[in-house]
Amino acid sequence: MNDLNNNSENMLDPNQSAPDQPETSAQTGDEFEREPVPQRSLLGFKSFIGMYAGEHCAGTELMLGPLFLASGASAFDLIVGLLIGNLLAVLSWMFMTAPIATRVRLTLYYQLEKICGRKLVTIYNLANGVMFCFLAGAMITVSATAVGLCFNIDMPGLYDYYPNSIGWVLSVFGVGLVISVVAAYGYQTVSKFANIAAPWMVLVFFAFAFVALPQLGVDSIGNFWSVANENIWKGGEPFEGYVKFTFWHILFWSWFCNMAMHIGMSDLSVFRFAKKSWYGIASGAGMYVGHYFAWISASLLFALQLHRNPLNQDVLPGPMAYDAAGIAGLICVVIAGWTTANPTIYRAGLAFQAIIPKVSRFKVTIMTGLLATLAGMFPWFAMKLLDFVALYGMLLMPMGAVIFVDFWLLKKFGLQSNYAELSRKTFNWAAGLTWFLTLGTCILLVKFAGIQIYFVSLPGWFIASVLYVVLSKFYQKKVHQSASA
Amino acid sequence: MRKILQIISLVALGGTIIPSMLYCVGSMPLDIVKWIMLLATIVWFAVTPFWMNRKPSA
Repeated sequence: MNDLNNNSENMLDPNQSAPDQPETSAQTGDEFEREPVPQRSLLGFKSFIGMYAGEHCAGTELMLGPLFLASGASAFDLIVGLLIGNLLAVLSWMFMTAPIATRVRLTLYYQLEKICGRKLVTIYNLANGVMFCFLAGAMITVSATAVGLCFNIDMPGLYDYYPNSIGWVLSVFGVGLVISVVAAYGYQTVSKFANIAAPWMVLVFFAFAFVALPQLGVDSIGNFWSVANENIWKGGEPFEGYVKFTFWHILFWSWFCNMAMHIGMSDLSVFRFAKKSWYGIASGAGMYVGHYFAWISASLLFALQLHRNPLNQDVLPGPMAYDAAGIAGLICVVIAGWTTANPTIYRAGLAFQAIIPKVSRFKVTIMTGLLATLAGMFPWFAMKLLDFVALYGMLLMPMGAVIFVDFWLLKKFGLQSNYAELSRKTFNWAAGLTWFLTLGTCILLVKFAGIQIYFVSLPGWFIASVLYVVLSKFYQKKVHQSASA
Repeated sequence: MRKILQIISLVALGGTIIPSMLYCVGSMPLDIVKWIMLLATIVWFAVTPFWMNRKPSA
């Protein structure tokens, strides 16, 4: 864990190593921003286990577990669907991200710049930064539900997509302001604090489950399955306005919820420090602690609330955690939201700063934090987190396909890899069009072909891969012709 | 000293999870669970920063 603490900031942030961010280098030491990570700086397996376990036990897990219940998930679908979906996510890190990362050992940003050119990477940064902001907004919402409980504030319900009271707005603003200022001033301190909190937080998540199970009627391992089906994850119709989640929904959702990181290749920046590509399996620590047990625990809290009062459909992590674990539960909600919103705001700020490098990091981070806070005031991002996360993965997925094809396949088709670098182009149109056309096709598939957003990224990845090869064929030929003319 | 602090942190982690397990098997009331978890939380955050993230002295 200590190895991780010294290096996690460097590893986690693809944008951190952007060339126009000298402050970052000063802050975190040697980052190898424009060069492969050397042998002497590689990290051991344990570093990755610690990082993934901490990173994926976040405030948003407290929203996601209940939202599975709101979507009508049954016991088998949830428990087996999550098991397989998370396995597919781990395999994606292991066989798609880590093999490229350990061969090129470059940040996502630099790898993309070589392939796509600087201007296209700027657009990517903008998209990434905006999505990070909204995600941080959902994390602030989670923390604010704990603060709201302390001040007896009227908090939003499951169907409140807009701010519902002045008290709620003030509560989110207070939490968001503190997080933003801390992210701007003391990112590293909070990062260290997050590492300290992680083991405790994981255990509090487990405690939620232990407290909820007997109250739901589980009194032995023997009757767990029958209670799970009858009292906890009953299946059936979803709540009004929510899509029914079947086994396949849960499998695909849990596979793709971190799509930006594995198939989307954001974690090239993480695994460039790995000695071996099989270290990708370390992501399993995050998937099975955070995205399996934490989601299941959080859904148990919501099941308990519904068990006591079926009419209380509010998904408010603060009150649910307080009910189960008292003040410790409440502290867990605040810390879970805070420690994960902090690096998310920081990363979003870096992504934006790459676009406007002349504005100071402090100002950009504060502005980014305030934007996230504004998003946090709208409970839509938290209450519709299942949809938002699916959209996030879909948005960045095509660039992951571009990197994958560029690295493994392009030369086999007689084309050049890293074409922007070779041709000194600042905007590789083959990559750019691949991104935009894939997104357009995915949107059309969702709107008109009846494919739900939770599934569309799978065909989307193949569409992006084929498009990139075909468009590169035309684009590279055209550039060669104009160069020789 | 470091070893002692690590043991205290470990006990705090135990205090975070074990009471809820005891509640699960019907051996401890929920009120007591919540109080022990709070105490364990305070101890964890009070003690752990003194050894975690810090290099052991030679």
